[in-house]
Amino acid sequence: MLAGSDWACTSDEDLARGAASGSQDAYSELVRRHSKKLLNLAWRMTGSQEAALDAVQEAWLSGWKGIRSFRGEAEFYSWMRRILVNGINNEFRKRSRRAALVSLDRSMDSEESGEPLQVEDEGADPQDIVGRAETAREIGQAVVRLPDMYRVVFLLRETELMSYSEIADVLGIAEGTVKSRLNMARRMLRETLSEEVGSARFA
Amino acid sequence: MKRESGHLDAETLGAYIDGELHGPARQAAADHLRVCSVCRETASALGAPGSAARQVQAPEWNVEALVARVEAGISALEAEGEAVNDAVAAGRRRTVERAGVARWTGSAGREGSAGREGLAGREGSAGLGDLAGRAARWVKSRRRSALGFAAAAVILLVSLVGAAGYVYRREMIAQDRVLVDSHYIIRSGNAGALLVSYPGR
Ligand SMILES: [Zn+2]
Repeated sequence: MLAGSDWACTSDEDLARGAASGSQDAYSELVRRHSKKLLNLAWRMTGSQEAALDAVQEAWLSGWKGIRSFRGEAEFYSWMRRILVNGINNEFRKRSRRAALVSLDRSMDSEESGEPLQVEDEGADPQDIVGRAETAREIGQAVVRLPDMYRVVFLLRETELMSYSEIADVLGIAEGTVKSRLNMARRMLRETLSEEVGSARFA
Repeated sequence: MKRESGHLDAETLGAYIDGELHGPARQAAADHLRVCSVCRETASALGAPGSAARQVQAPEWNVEALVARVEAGISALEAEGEAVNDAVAAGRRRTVERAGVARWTGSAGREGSAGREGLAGREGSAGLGDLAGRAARWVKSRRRSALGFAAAAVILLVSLVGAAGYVYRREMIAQDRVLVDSHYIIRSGNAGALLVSYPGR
């Protein structure tokens, strides 16, 4: 049993190989290394910390079951991110089927119960900080309110900085679809924001 | 690519700011943006939601609590795997199905007990390991009790058959006696003895 710090010089690929041959310690180190980014993505996708923790935990368990299929041709983080995004997407699909039976408005309300989004305070001008904080908080909430398929594409592009082809690959859709969904997401966000913030900021 | 107005459409502008336009298309867009302030405005408006989204500060995560949850989950998976392997080795399909049930109950327990506590930063792993062990033991104990049940059923069946046979034989013997006795009584001409000897019949 090695402590976390002893793995510092071991690459993700070697850790994954260790995990594939049964080392739970090696796998735990991978969990330690990559969970923060995965949690941030899951939190942006779901809008809830609790849902994000559950989704990332499930993703890590799926990763353990499939670790032998990780061949190292992609980065380990990308490999895990794909598992996470697919897992959350499946939840979205289940939820939208349920929502179709119940009521869309109610399901949206229950999803919004998360903690208020916070914004990093950088920059000198207090007026500017307040302005940016408001915009970012409103954006965060507007993103959570986007229909699932637009939100996922928007986040993979704008916060994960993935290329259109990577997004298409992960989601199993055409690049043209990525392009049009992204465009739709941006248009909806602009409209939401110009209503809430006032047209001046995005004119 | 260009709208009737002569400006670039939003999808093209979006692809441009995403670095997804290549070759002549990229050149044409760049040339137009250089001379058109309307499209420059639109492009920066298209990029604004994304840069605002990147500024939203993520929560502080308790990664160690998550590591503990994942480790406990993996232990439970491994325990399950062993239970299933045991069952397969023994060639008992029904036990495999039971292990499936244990897996389901195990994961339900995981959500319930460790889920929320793990989030609060408490150590949930001991309880989870325990749960995994309990699930495995449950499978084994169910297998034992199934064997016990089968044995008891066989014993019960055998004794029932035995008892039934015994009762039947007694009945036959009694009937034989009645026949023999009545035959004797009738032959001996003492019909009254028939009623005296078998008052209940
Ligand atoms: Zn223009």
